[in-house]
Order: sequence, then structure tokens, then C-alpha cells
Amino acid sequence: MLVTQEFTVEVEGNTILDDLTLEYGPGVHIVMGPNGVGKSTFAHALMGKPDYITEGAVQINGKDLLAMEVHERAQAGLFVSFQTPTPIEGLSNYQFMRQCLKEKDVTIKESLGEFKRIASEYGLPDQWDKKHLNVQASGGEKKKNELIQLELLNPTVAILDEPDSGLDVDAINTLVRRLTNYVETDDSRCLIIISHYQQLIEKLNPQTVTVFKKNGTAIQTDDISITQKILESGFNAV
Amino acid sequence: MSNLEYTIKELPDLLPLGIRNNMMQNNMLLKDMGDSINTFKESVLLSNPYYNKFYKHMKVEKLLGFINTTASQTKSMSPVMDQFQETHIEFEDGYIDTKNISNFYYGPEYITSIDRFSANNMLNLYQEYFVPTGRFSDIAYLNTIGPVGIRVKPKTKRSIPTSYGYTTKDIRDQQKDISCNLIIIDIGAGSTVTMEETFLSNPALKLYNILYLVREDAKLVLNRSFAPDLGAHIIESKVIQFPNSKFECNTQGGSNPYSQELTEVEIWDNCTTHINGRYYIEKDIVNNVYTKLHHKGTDSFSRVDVKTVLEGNAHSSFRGEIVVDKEAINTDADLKNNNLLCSTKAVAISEPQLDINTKEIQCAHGCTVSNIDADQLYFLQSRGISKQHASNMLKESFLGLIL
Repeated sequence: MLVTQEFTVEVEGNTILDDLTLEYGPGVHIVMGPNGVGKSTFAHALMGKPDYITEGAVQINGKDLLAMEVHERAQAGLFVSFQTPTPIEGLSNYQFMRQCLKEKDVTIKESLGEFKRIASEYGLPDQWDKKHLNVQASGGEKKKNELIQLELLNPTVAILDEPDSGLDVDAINTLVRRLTNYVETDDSRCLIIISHYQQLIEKLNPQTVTVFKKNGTAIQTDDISITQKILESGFNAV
Repeated sequence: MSNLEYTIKELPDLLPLGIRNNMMQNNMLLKDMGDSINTFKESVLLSNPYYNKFYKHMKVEKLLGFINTTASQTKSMSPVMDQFQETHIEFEDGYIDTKNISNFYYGPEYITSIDRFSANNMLNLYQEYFVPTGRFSDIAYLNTIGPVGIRVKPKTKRSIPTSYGYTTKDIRDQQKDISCNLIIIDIGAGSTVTMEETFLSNPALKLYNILYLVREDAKLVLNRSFAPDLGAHIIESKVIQFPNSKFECNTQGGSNPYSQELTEVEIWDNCTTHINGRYYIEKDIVNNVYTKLHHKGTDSFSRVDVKTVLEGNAHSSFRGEIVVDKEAINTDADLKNNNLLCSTKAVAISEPQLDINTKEIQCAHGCTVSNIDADQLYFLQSRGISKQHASNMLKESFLGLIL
């Protein structure tokens, strides 16, 4: 579904990711690595963040991802959640979603109903649809907003950047339940999760684990026990 | 005098020559408002408003492109009231038409028309509120055919659609002389009135000098909009808020090649004042906003919130003044002006000015000029929205138009 070949990313003159050849098929994949090694950069380079210079090749569902504009990458089925989603004053949460869904054949009634239902499941306040996008929202609320967007946009490949951060225990349980349900209800979906949260990793039963290294390279393995080693002995152990 | 063409800069020199039957020529008006007319005359003849330094950021030279022609001043004596489709009050240079919201010539029972023909128009009493400013509104005062307005009876609760200019475009297009409007809106005590104001332009300049009196315990809401057109508007409003009154002005503008919207509010005890402006300007449009809130009484609350999105070669100026008198204790005032620059060629000038003469108040201001936020743009694009659409969304959300 998502294949990178010799994928290199340069930001402000520094090579952050070097020569990555990785493959993500249907199911859940975990991405780990020490702070500052470029896990988020990986996600946003794939999304096409301006000022990121990329080399190599990336294909999503057989299409050349790097040849696409940012919005075309999203329309091709890629979704990247933000660690710190940007606030936009004057744009309500639902109006934002409505604009995102414009190209899809979804009525306002359907999308608003679904929006409210998911928001309610995440324990977001009433009238969440009318609140301005990520304005005066806590870290946890912003994360939940991202997860609502994920579910409504229904991408084929989603990269979630530490979706558990900022969430309380109840919200993490909801997150685990909803993500489990998300991949189980459609086994063609590919979910790449940047996380070091053991409970989340165990429950989602990942297919592969990618570990990013300080020199900009990464290893990908289907030996899931590597996550346990890392959590017990640190990244130097692998 | 036929086919005389002139610009706003030349008009002060022409006024004493009697180019039209204006305030200075009309014996009936000289009798009612003579003292005030003489004061304005002295002011304008002494100093041509075109050169007033007040306009230093307002690109008044663009007004020289609007040529006024006296020979076209023929239509106004035959009001076109029968052609209107919608119910509203209509003002145009010395004329008021309320017939279409009533079967009575002088309007519905909750309104009394003010014009030079009406008995008890009390023009002599209103003249005390008109003071020369040295600006174009002084020309509007002197060169209008006559003052017009409405007096809303006390305890009225109404929405009043109002158009400034003839609503039939063909007739507006014939109005090639300058349109000078001296308008009095007198909202009776205890009333709650919303005026849906639409400004319609002529090929020539339109000048307005509007007085709003918001009497005790009254509330006046102005919802202002401008028909997209090729004309220019210079609107100067003076608002007197009597004690315990509320005033709110919400403008959506920026569609005309040149605009000045100048609003001065005199605020007495226990009043609430809101001035909200939302402007989207592009191409070579010049849009200027000036607000002056003068707190004269105690315990009043005021907010100014003006936002402008600029594209192309657009030019915007904002000057916001808050004056708090020594006696105006417990004033709570806030002034904001935010500009979103979407072009490297567009210019936004923002000048807040506070003149505070007492310590027992809360007063704040904040003015910004910024570009489209690259992170916001990327965020919207990352959800499948094209760059152009995302950019438009950010402009609209900046103006609060897509809630």
C-alpha cells in the first residue's frame, strides 16, 4: 500500500532521513525511535510538507506519491495526524470536516450525525461541532479531533503521530477500542502508528515494527518482540 | 451652468458660485439652520478638506478619478419610488422615500420623516449636533440639496431596511453629479431598532454626513453592506449615545473602488458600543476605516473589532481612537484591528490611538498585520483541500464568515 525506496529527506540543509526502503501493507505497523530521529519528519515528508526536500521514490496504492500536491496525497488515501494540530480561529470543527468531505458523496446530515457520534464517544463536550478548530482546546481534545478526522475521512494509509499523548486513561481505552475496531472492520486499511505505548502496541497486534535510528536510517522487522526489548532495555539494545 | 465637470478637490471653490440649489442657496434652510451653515461655510472656504492631513494614509488622490458632472442633475426632483420592489426607506441627496413601507406619504406611524418640506422638522434643533470637522463631510453638509432623516417614535421595536441611493440601477447610472447626503436618524427613547443599511453607488462620488441619535434606553443596530459597484463612498457618521443606550455597527465592505467609513461615537453613562468591520479588498481597491469612541460618561463598555483581508494591490488604512474623559470612570474599552495580507503588493496601515484621562478604567488595543499562516494552509491541504480552496477558507475564517 505504501512503499518507500531510497527515500531521503532534507530539512533546512540537514539530512534527517537517509535512504529509507520500507513497505507497509494492510494492518497495523508501529514506528519507534529516540526523540529527534525524524519519525514526525517521515510522516510529514510523505504528506508533502513545504520546505522538505525529498529524494527517492514513494508509492501509495501503486501511484507516485512524491509527484502529487499535498491535497492530492490526501485524496490518494494518505492521512497524517499532527502532534500539535494548528488552531484556526473562525472555522468550526464541523465546517472544517464538511469542507474536507466535499469531494465525497456524504450528506451534511450523515456527516454531522457521524461527527457528533464519534465526538460523544471520545467524551468531547456538547456543541463540539461548533467550537473553533483546535482553538482553546487541550492537548487531549486536539488529539481526539484528529481521530474524528481519521474516522470520517477513512483513508487507506494513516500515519498517527503519538495518538496517545495527552490522553487520560479513559480516553486511551477509547482510543485503543476505536483503533482496533477501525482496522478490524476493514482489513484493507493500513495504520502506521508512531508510539511507545505498550498497551496500545499489544492490543493492536501490529504486522511490523520500524525503528528509526539517530543516523537517519531505519530498520523494519516483523518480529514484534523488538518492541518489548526496546521498552525494557532502550534503543541501544536493537 | 451646463456640463460642468469637476472633482472633489475643486468643489470647495465652486460652492460659493451657486452650482446647485444646496444648503447655502436655499432660503428655507438658511432660516432653519443658518448658524450651522455659516460655520460650515467658513470652515470649508478657509481650508479645502482635500488637503486635510487627516487623510494622509487614505489615498485621496484616487478620488480625482471620479469626475462629477452638474448637467446630469435632473432626475432627483422626480422620485422614483413607484419602481421599488422591496419595502424599505430610501435616501438620496436631499430626498427620502418612506412611501413603500407605508400607505402614508410621511411613512408608517412609528416613523416621522424629516425633510425640508415637513412641518415640525426641528432642523433648527438638530443643527447643534453638526460641527465642522475639516473633512469631506463638511462638503456633504453644505452641498446637499437638504437634510433628510427619520425620527423613530419612543419604544418602537422594528427592523428598518434602508437604502442609500436609488435602488434602480439605471436611474443610479444617470446620477453623474456628486451626491451629498446629510441624514438624521433619531431613535426614540426605549426603542430597539435594527437598520439594514445598503449603500448603493453612482458613477460619481457619494458623500455622507449621517447623524445617529440613540436616545435614553434605546438600542440601535446598523447592519451595513455595500452593493458591488464602480462608485466611491465617503461615509462619515456621528453617533450620540444618550445614557443607558446601546449601539452596534456591523459592516461588511470592501467591494467599491474607494471607500472611507468614518465613525465617531459620543458615549455617555452606562452605554454599550460595538463596532465590527469585516472587509475583503482586492485589485486596486482603497478602503479606509476610522473610528473614534469618545467616552464622556461613566460605566460604559466599548469594543472595536475591524478585520481586513487584502489581495492584489489593495490598500487599507485603519485609524482607531479611544478617548476617555476624566469623568468617564469605570470605562471598559478595547480596540482591535487585524489585517491579513495575501499579496506582497497590498498595503495595510494600522494606527491605534488612545487618549486616556482617568486611571479608573480598563482599556486595551491590539493591531496586527500578518500573512496567511503556512502551517494552517498545510494542515488544511493535508486533509484533501486544494491550496486555493484552503487559502480562501483561511481568509473567510479570518473574517469569521464560515462558522
